Amino acid sequence: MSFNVADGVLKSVRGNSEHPYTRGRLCSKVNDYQNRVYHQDRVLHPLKRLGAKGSGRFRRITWDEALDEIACRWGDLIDDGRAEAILPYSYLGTQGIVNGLTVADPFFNKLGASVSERTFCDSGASTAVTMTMGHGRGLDPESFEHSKFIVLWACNSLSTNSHHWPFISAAKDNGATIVVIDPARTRTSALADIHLQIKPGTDLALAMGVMRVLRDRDLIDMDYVGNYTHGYERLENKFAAIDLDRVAAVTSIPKRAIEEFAIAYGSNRPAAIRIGVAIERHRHGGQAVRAIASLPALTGAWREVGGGLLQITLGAFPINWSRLSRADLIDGDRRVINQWLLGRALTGELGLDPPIQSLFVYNANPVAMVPEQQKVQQGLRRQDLFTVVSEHFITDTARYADIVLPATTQAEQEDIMFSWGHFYVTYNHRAIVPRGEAISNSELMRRLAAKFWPGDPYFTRSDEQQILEALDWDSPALSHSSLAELKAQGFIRLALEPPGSARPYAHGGFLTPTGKCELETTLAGNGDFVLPVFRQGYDGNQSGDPVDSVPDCSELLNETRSAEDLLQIISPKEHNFLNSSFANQRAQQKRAGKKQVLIHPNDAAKRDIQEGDRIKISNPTGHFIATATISEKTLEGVAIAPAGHWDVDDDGTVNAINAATFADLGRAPTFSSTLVAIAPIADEEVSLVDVA
Amino acid sequence: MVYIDPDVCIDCAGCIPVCPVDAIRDDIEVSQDEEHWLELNRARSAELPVVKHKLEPLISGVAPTIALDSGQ
Repeated sequence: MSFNVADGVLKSVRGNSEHPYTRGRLCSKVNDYQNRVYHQDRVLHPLKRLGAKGSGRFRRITWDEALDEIACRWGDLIDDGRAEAILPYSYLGTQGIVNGLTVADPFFNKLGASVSERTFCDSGASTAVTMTMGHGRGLDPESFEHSKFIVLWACNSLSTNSHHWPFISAAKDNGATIVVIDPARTRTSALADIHLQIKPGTDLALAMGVMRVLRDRDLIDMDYVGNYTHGYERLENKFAAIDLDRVAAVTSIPKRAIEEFAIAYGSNRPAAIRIGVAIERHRHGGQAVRAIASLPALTGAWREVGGGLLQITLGAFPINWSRLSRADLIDGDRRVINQWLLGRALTGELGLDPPIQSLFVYNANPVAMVPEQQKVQQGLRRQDLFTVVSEHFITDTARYADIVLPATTQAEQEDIMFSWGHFYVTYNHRAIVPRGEAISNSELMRRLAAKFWPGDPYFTRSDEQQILEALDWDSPALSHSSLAELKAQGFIRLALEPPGSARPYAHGGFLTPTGKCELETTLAGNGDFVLPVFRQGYDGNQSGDPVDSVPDCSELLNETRSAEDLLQIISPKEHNFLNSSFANQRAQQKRAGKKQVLIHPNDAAKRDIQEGDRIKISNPTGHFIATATISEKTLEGVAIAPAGHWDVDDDGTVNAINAATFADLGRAPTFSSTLVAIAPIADEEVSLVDVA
Repeated sequence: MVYIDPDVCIDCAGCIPVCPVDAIRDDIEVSQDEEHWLELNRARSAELPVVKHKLEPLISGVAPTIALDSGQ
């Protein structure tokens, strides 16, 4: 992103047209970023709560007052031997290696607080990929240009990965077939050659059905399998006898379409798969990713440039994680609390000892984005809970804070960025002086640490020093360049093979214990785990839940239909929001429209729901109210509620009905397994519905 | 003339500053008397071939570009 600054004011932003990957484009979330920076609702000074929790009434205080109170409250807990009663809570509302994912980890690891396990996004897939391919570089997103068959599996590229689209589009111009596998008709499926409209949560069955067809049609590359995979026979035992009629019934995809897809995937080369985040969000999500990640090894797709699978590109970056998270500051055993369980943790349902007495939220808006929304709000109302929120705005979460701290935007801070979706490092220059008294997360951690360990050399490091230490500049991926070059140019590509010749696993070399693609994983022995990068660098106290070493879809195929009157509901990203970020901005709100739920015409007719009706969506977890949009974009039996809307107090949002339960791998959520009843509500009933 | 399919457009707004004759508006910024352009864009974009690469400007498009460049 290029900032256009005049007289110290950020006038506009643009994509950097020199950047080979982003090519001057920005998505609709951030292409008016100046409107976020200068938004009338920006928090510009530290605030202290005035009214009742959740009322959103505050008064201005000084930074000294704010920090003194925080230090005093936390000091009391620590002196009392209850440091674990403090819970840091964050994710990626701010990106950047310095100010993003790990910024507060060293502080809280040293303080003795509970470790927060952040499995918001792709943790399940990351565990699955680690078990199958190893968490390395995977397929270069730029190599897709050379593909002849591209599968976008649970990935709406044009809404959530738009910079990848030109490479897919170029492949299409060269004759590639584009297949989209998605329960919904999306912007991306509209431009695809084939759309397999799959019932949510059944991807494991489809992937294993594809395996069976590949074998029956002799499309498995037995030479590749023999040399570079582990456990083929055990996997074959699982898929050889799969009943394709059952796969068709469960997935809602006709048997013939499944067969044609499998044959096309196995016989068109190079064949690329791009998986999206939603794929992990159901009970079998982890094993679904394991099965899909096995496909390119079964067909030998890795042999060719543009063949293989892309999940996330994180593994390619030489990031000094241990220096960033400082898990070494955890002495002995430390309590880990998964962040999806926030509502249960705060309300006492988890039976925590000591209970959570203080919550420190930054880079996150859990009231909007965490399941069991009403329970989260109930927990945040606790009078004995001391909540601190560092934010740009008074979000639905910040409304409950005892202290709100003003945070800088990307334009007001310096940082260095890895990418989740390409192989370039980016430098984030500070473009303008921070507004008001806003400070960066890194500065916040320096100020907090000074209260507890004044003069500690690690916690007094400048941003410049932290930026220098963020990456290993001596590693093969970066030794060709330097921080000075990065600062001058704004971006550099990692020194990997060029996308036009990259064949990362053409000759095996997977980053697994066996060095092979592990169709049968050798990592199931200790049970389920979350990669330490998603849990403050800490590897202790993993869940260890039992894991099947080979994907198995028999349970899924034997599932009986849910009750006829219930609908499955999914909560995908809204095109204009990044989770709840940007959902309070005018342009994004105007494009996104009202909080709505898409329902198939047949489901609407059965419930006597008309377009634009107010409807109540409910299940045992909770309920929310939204506007009905009747559309054939969704399957019969499946409702779609885009996530991210604010003003939760106004009838709740989709996270009111999502439960805090876990998928089979990496503590991913199960949002796509959610069932709900949907009914119209009469106008007079709206005001009577109790959402508290 | 080039038209934008409002159903395919992802609202990245990348085209607005590079248009030499300042002819492109964000759909949420159009005034009431400009609203008919939305339907016209939808209809015409469906009929015409997709432009994927930069083309030479038409003769009629050159004149205003020159005028803008010289500040007239």
